[in-house]
Amino acid sequence: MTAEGRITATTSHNEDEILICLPGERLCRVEDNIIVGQGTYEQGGYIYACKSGIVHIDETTEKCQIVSVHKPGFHLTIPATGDVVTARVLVTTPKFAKCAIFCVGNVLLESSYRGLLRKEDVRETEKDRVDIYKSFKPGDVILARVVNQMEQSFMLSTAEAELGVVVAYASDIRKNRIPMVPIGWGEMQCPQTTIKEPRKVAKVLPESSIKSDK
Amino acid sequence: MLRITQTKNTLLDGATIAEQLYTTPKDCEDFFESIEKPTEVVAAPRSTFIRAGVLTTVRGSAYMEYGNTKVLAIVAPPRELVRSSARRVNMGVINCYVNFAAFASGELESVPEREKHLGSMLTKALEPLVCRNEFLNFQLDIRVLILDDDGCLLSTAINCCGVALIECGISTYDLITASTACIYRGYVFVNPSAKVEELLWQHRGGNALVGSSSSDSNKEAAIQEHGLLINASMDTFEQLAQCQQCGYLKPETYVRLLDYTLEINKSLRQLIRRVLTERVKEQHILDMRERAEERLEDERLATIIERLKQQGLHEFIQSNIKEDPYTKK
Repeated sequence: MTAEGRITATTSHNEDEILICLPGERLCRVEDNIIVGQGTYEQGGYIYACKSGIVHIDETTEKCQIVSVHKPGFHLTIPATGDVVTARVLVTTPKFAKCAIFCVGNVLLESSYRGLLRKEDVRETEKDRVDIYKSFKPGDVILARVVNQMEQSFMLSTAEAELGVVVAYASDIRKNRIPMVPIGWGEMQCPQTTIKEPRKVAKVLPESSIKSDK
Repeated sequence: MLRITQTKNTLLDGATIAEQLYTTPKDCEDFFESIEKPTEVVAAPRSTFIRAGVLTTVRGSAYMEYGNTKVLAIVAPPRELVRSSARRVNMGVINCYVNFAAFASGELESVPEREKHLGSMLTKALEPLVCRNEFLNFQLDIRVLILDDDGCLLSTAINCCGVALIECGISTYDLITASTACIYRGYVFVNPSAKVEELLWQHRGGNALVGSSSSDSNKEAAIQEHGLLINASMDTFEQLAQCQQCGYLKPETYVRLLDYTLEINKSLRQLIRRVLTERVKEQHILDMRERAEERLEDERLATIIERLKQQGLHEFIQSNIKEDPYTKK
């Protein structure tokens, strides 16, 4: 009962403030201290909306304002350069590993996108001594950063301490599906059989520290 | 001077009616007499119904009724380009697929051809609309299902796709609206119905059938103005996304028809704006509700964690087991 009351209260409260716009609607003039944010585009000295949604003006920083349009409900997510993505390793070759990106940030994608992780992008240091087969196995779930978008797939990189294998299963008892436990930056161990396998292990951070990082 | 081409005109493909209405020029006259002719031109859209987000299984969908023409459009999130079809482009690719419902058209023979033509014209109309630079190396599949066909098929499909694209959250430069107008024997038909479109087509097809024997009447008919204009416009920058015409039109008539369609487009735009604004409000309220529910859930979990901290793990599990109804049995 209290919940219902609060819901109506919040919506009615927001009803007065929200500014709805549709594609092609002129929002404001382009000025030095205004940044063109998501869901908008610039044309002829003005900023226009290119999505239907609610206008959002971010004034957190003193120097500039970010104008963006947020679409309520479903909004499209495509991996962009610099995003941290979750991917599953599909195939490994001596030069690269093919992955399927299924999550961008904390948004689960509807369909997976192809990702390519080259040997040079696995580790930050000692790049020439990296072996793909010592870093990933097919079936591993990895965290990676999108470097850029090539013609056919997204180039990924795990050259950061926080990026790399998150979930992995030992190759011989894969049927049991017991995830291995990381025991160092380059090794994981199966708790059941105590088999050690080499991986490029990610130093997974708690959510709070990642948020502050952003 | 003026040659009548005998190829089937793609623009007039919009409508065909089931039965062969006439075979001789005489029948054609009779049929024309039977059509109710507008006394004055009213540049207004037909009675229209638009709804965004009609399907829950697809992200972007829209349903539109334009008079008796009924169209459903579906937009799927962008897919990666398949290697075989990958041309070297630095823009996203749009693919439109038009399908007729089995009951939509009486004439089944020409359906695949019409579907293809409508699809390619729809693609052309939507290409300037979508911000294609936002999804490089992706392809956007737009599917249109025609449930009922009573003229103005292409323009209705364009309107419907515009709404579906926005519903899917794909960036577009503007709202798109389209409409059709045609002229036949001095009468201007705005939003021509299937019968008028059929007549326009038969006007050429019929002549072709008669052949050389009645070349005199051919010429006479050809001098008369007859033609159809489909116009899709984006009003913010006063751009035309697509403007197609067929038939024989004098420049003055062309301008007149163009003005009619632009006027209809304007009023359709108002309608679409209203529909989409309502939709955004609706979604916003849903979002707020969802967020409030999430917050409640978070609070609930927070209290549990708090209790857990106070009681200690073992006690907490014990207390929870007692509450579990299954353990009582």
